[in-house]
Amino acid sequence: MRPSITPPHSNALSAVQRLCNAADPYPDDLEDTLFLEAMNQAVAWHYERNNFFRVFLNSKELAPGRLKDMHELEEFPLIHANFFKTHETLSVPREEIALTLTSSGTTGQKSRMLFDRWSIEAGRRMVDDVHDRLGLTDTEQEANYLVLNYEPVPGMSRGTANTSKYLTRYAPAREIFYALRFVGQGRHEFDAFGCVEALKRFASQDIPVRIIGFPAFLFFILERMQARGLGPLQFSPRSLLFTAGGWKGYASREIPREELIRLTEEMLGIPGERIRDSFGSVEHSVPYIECPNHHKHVPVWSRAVIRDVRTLRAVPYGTPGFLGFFAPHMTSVPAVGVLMGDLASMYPGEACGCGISSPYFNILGRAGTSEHKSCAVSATELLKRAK
Amino acid sequence: MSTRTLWKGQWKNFDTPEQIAGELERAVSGSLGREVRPKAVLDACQSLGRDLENGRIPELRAALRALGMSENKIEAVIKSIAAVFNPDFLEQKYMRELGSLEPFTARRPDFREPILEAWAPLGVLLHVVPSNSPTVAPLSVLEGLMAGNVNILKNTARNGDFPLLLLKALADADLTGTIASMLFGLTVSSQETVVMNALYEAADGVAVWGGDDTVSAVRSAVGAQVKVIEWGHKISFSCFSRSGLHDKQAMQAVAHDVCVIEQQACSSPQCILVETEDRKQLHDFSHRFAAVLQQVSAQYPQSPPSTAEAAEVTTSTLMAEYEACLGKGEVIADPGGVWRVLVRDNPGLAPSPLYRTVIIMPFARRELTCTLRPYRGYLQTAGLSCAPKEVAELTEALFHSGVTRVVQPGEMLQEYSGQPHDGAYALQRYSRRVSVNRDRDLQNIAGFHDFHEPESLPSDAPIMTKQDFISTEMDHSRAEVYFRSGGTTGTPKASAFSWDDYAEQMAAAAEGLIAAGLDPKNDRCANLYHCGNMYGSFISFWSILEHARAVQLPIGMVDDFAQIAESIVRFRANTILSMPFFAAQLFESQAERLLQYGGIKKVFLSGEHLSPDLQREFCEKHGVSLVRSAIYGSNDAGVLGYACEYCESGVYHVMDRLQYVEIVDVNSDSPVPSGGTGRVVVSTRNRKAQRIRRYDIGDLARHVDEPCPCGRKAPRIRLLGRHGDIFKLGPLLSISAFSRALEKAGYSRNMQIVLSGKGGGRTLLTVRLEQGYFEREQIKAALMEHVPGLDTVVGVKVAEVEIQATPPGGFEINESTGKLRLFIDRRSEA
Repeated sequence: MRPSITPPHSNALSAVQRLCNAADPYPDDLEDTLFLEAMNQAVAWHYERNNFFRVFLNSKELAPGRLKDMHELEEFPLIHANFFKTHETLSVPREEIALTLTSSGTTGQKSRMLFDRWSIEAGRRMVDDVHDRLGLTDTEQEANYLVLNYEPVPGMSRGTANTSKYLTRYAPAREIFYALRFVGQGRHEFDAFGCVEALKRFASQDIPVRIIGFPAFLFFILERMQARGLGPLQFSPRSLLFTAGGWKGYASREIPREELIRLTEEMLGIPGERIRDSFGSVEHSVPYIECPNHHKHVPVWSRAVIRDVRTLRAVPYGTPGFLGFFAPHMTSVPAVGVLMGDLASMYPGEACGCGISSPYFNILGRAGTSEHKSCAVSATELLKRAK
Repeated sequence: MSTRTLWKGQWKNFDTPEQIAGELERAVSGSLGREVRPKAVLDACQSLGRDLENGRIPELRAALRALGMSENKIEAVIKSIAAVFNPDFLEQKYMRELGSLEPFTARRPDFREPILEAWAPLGVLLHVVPSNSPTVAPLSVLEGLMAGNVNILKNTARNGDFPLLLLKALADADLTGTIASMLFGLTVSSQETVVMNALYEAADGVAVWGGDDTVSAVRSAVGAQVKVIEWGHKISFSCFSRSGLHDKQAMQAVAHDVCVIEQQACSSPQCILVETEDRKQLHDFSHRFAAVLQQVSAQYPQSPPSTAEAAEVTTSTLMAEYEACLGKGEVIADPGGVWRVLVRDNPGLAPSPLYRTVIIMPFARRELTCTLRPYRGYLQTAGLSCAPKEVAELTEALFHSGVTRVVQPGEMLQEYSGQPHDGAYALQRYSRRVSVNRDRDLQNIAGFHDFHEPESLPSDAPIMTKQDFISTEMDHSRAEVYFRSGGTTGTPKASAFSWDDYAEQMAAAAEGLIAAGLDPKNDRCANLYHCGNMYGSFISFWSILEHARAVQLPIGMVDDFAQIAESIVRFRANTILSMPFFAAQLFESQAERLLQYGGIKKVFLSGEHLSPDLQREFCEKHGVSLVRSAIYGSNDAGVLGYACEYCESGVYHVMDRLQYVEIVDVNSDSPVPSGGTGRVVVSTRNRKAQRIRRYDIGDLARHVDEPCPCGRKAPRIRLLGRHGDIFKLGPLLSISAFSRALEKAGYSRNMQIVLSGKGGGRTLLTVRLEQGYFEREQIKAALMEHVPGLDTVVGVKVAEVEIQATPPGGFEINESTGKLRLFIDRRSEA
C-alpha cells in the first residue's frame, strides 16, 4: 500500500503535495504546470521561513512565487551542495527535525542534512515508486544480499549506509552480507574474501542475489575471484546489481561502466538489464535510477538542468556543465534548487529508447576541485591536511 | 615496443621494462664516485646556453611545438633556460649555496682547527617531476649535477621529449666528457611498476616536485634511508600593513602579480592580508583594490581556465556569495567573469581557485604566526607593502610564521641568483656535509686540493712578456682591487683582481702558509711588510692572516726598529712575516732586546730570495726555530706557490688550484727537457679581472720530479734566479731603466750591474761603467732620479749603490757567447 503523507502546511504546499502524490515517476505528461506551481510554493515557503534564503533571493532581485514557465526555471538560481555541507540553516523549528544524515565526501568534509518527517518520507516514497516502476521490486521473492557498504554500527549515521540498509526492503532478505566489516574503534575494513565466500554460498542457493552499494568494491571482488581462478558463478536472472555512490576515493582505479557491466555479466551471470547504477546525494534526495538501457531519467518530482561552469547559464542538451536539480519537496532546509559538485550532460528522453520520455543525464566527473597544473597549492590538498 | 632512454648521456633503446630494470643498478653505480668538476659544468652550460640563444638546436623548439606551445611561449621558454645556463648565474649559485667553486675539496672551515669539511654528493639522485612544466625537469637535473650526483630523470609523457633532448645537448656540450655518465633519463608512467621499482631501488635521494599526494606516494615507495627532497605545492600572499592601506601603487603591483600568469606560480599571491580590525576599513580597502584590479586586468589578455578549473572558481565564488548573504564577507566580481575579489571578515588564510581570484582577509601583526599556523608548511612568498620603517618588524613576523621569502609587491615572481628555494639551498639538499678531523696528521694541512692530480691547462697562446702585460688594455669592469705592477716605468700600471679573485688567492695563500708551518691557533704574527702607493705586500699578508684568523700585529715596514721591537715585545709576537733584508736588519739592530725577549719562534720570509746563510743566522744567532719562505708570488700573476715542511730553500709547490706553471726554454717557446732550467711561464686558471695566459714572470726554475714526502701531488719547482730585464731587489727594478738613466747623464757605453750580498741581508748593487767616461756624482744622481724604485731601495737601506770605474777587460763576459753580461746576481753565493 502506498503510504499517504502530508507536508507540514497543507495549504501553502498543496501543489507540492499533489506533485509528490504522483505515483508514476515517468508519466508521458510531465505536468510542468504543476511542477512550477509546486516550485513557487516551495520557494515562498523557504523565503518566509529562512533568513539566509530570503537574503539570497533578494540579492538576486527575485521575488518568490513568480516562476511563469520552464524557461524561467532553467535560469533560476541554485544553491551549491557545498553550502549545505558546511552550514545548517533550517526552515522549520528544530523540534520538527526527524532525521540527520551525514555523508562522507572525498575531501573529508562531512555534511549534515536535516530532514523533517515530510521531506524524508516523501523522498523514501519516491525511491519506492521508482523501484516499482522499473521492476526492481520483488516482494514475493526472497533474495540474498551482498551490501557493498559499511556494516551498520549503533550510533552511525552515514548517509550512504542508511540508503543501502533502506534498499534491502525491495525484496525480502534471506541473508545480508556487508562488504565493509566493522573492526572496532569506529573503523571498517573491506573483507574481500568474506565477500567471495558469501557469493559462493549464495550461488549454491536457488534464489536471486542482490548486490547493492559502491561499484568499486564489486570490481575488487571480481578481480579477487579472477586472481584465485574462481567462477564464473551463475545467479538467477532475477538477480540485481544496484550501484550507488560512485568510485569516490578509488577514482584512480575506476574502470569504464561498460567494462564493469561486461565483467559482472561474465563472472556472475547477472543480465545487463538487471545491472543498474543510480545517482543520489544527501543534499538532493530524489532518486535517479538507471532504466534498462542504463540511463538515469529524471522523475516527475524533480527537474534537472545543466549550467555552464563559468556563467551558470543553462546550456543545451549534450553540453557539459554543472549538474543542478529542482526539488520542491524539501521543506526542512532550502534545498529546493541545488547545484551539485558534478559535471554532467543531459539528453532528451527519446534519445534513450526505453520508452521513458523524461530526459536523462550522464555524470562526467567531479566539478569544483581541480588538480592544479601548477605548483600553487590547491584547496583539495589543504582540506585534506587541515581536517 | 622500444623505449628510447638517455643512458649515460647517450641514446639507448630498450625493448622491455624488465630490460631497463635489469640494467639500471649496474649502470648508475658504475657512474658513482666519478668527479663532476664545477668548471666542467660551467663550461658545458655556457656552451649550451650560447647554442640555445643562437637557435642551434632546432629539435628543442620542435619538441616544445609538439606540446602545443605558441611561438611566443617557446621563445620565452628558451630564453629563460638560456638565462639559467649563464655561467655567472651558476657560479653565483655555487658560491652562495655551497660556499665555493670547489665544494667537494675538503678544507678547514676554521683555519685554526685541524678539521676539514666538504660537500659530497648524495649519490644517485632520482628526479620525479611534474607534468605541467617541461622546464622543471632538466633544471632539476642540472642542480643535481651541480651537486655532483648521478641523475636519473623520471620524465612524463606530457612533458614530451624536451627534457631528455636538453640533457643530451648538455652532455654533448661538455668537452671534458665527464658529464655524460652522470645523466640518465626516461619517459615512463608512474603505473609502470617494474621500472618504477627499479628507479626507487637505485635512488639514494629523490627530488620530488608535486602535490601532497605525489610526495606521499614517493615517501612510501622508497626505503627509509633514502633522502626525499620535496618541492611541494606552496601558497603565497600579499600583505598590506596598516600604513599602506591607501597605497595605490602597491595595489597595482599586486594586481600585476595576480594577472600576469593567472596566479599559476607557487609565488603568485592567492590572498591579500590586510592589517586592520575594522570591518568597514577592510571592505573599503577591498573595493579600492577591486577597482585597481579591474584596470590592471584589462592590460593582461586572459589565459582562460580549463572546465575543471573554471568550475572550481565558480564554486568558490558561490560559497563566498552565500557567506555574504549570511552577513559575512563580500564578493566583488567582474561582470565579465575575468576577475573577482572575495572578502572574508575573519582572519585566516584560504586557498584561491586562482585565475584572478583574490581572497582578502584581515590580520593582526602579533597574531600572524597563529593565523598562518594551519598552512605553515605550504607558505612561501609574502609580497609586503608597508612603510620603510616597518619592514624589519613585519618581515620578521612573517619569517616567524613560516614564510620563507619576503619581497615587494610586483616582484613576487622574480628570483635573484643564489636565492634559497622554499626555504632551502637546493644544492645543499642534494648533498651531504662530510668531515675529517685528525689532530696530528692534519696539523699542516688546510685542504686536500693539492693532493689531487694536478690539472694542466694546455694553450697555444704565445708567451706574454712584461711589456705585453703592461700594454694590454685592462678590462676595468671586473677590476675591484688594484695593485701596483712592479718594475714599471712611466705611468703606473696595475695588476687587477676582482674581490672574488683576491679572496680566492688569499685563502689559497693562507692554506699555503699553514703548509709552511703557520699555526693560526698559537702564532702571534707581526706583519712587517711594506704598504702604501698601491703596493700589495702588507695588504696581502694582512688578508692572509685574516683568512687564517691568526693573531696579527699590523706593524708594517716602518723606519724605527726600536719601535718595532717594542711592539713585538709588548704584544708578545712570536712570528715575524717580512722581507729577508728587513728582518735581518731588525734582528741586527735589536739583537739584544729580542734575544732577551726570546719569544720569536718563527720567521716567514718572502719577496726576495732567501739565502741559506740568512736562514742559519736567524736560527743560530737569534733563537728562531722555523725559518721558511712564506709565499712565492708575484704582483702581476698573484699567488704562485708555497713551501711545505719538506721543501728546501728555493723549492715550492705550485699553487695548482690557482695557477698552471710551465717551464719553457730560455731561447725558444718549447718546454724544457726533463731536468732543464727554463723560464717560469704562468697561466692563471680562474681570475676574472685580468687574463694571465702563459705570462713570463721573469723567473728561472726547473721542475722537481721527485714526489714530495708530504704526499701532495701539486708539482714542485726550484727557483734559480731571474732573467730578462727585471730583477728583484726588494721591489722590482728594470735593467733597461738603468741604461736610460745613464743616457740622460750623457753616458751610453757599456754597463754591467752586479748584485752581491753585503751581510745582514743587505745587497751591494755595483754599476760597472767604463773608466774615464763618466762623472761619479753625476751618474749617481741620474740613477737615483731616473731609475724607478732605486731611491726607495736605497732609502730603506736594502741596498747600497756603488759606481765602479772598470778598465777594459774588467767586465765579465759570457764564456760561450763572448757577450758582455749585463746583469750578474751573486747574492746566493756565500
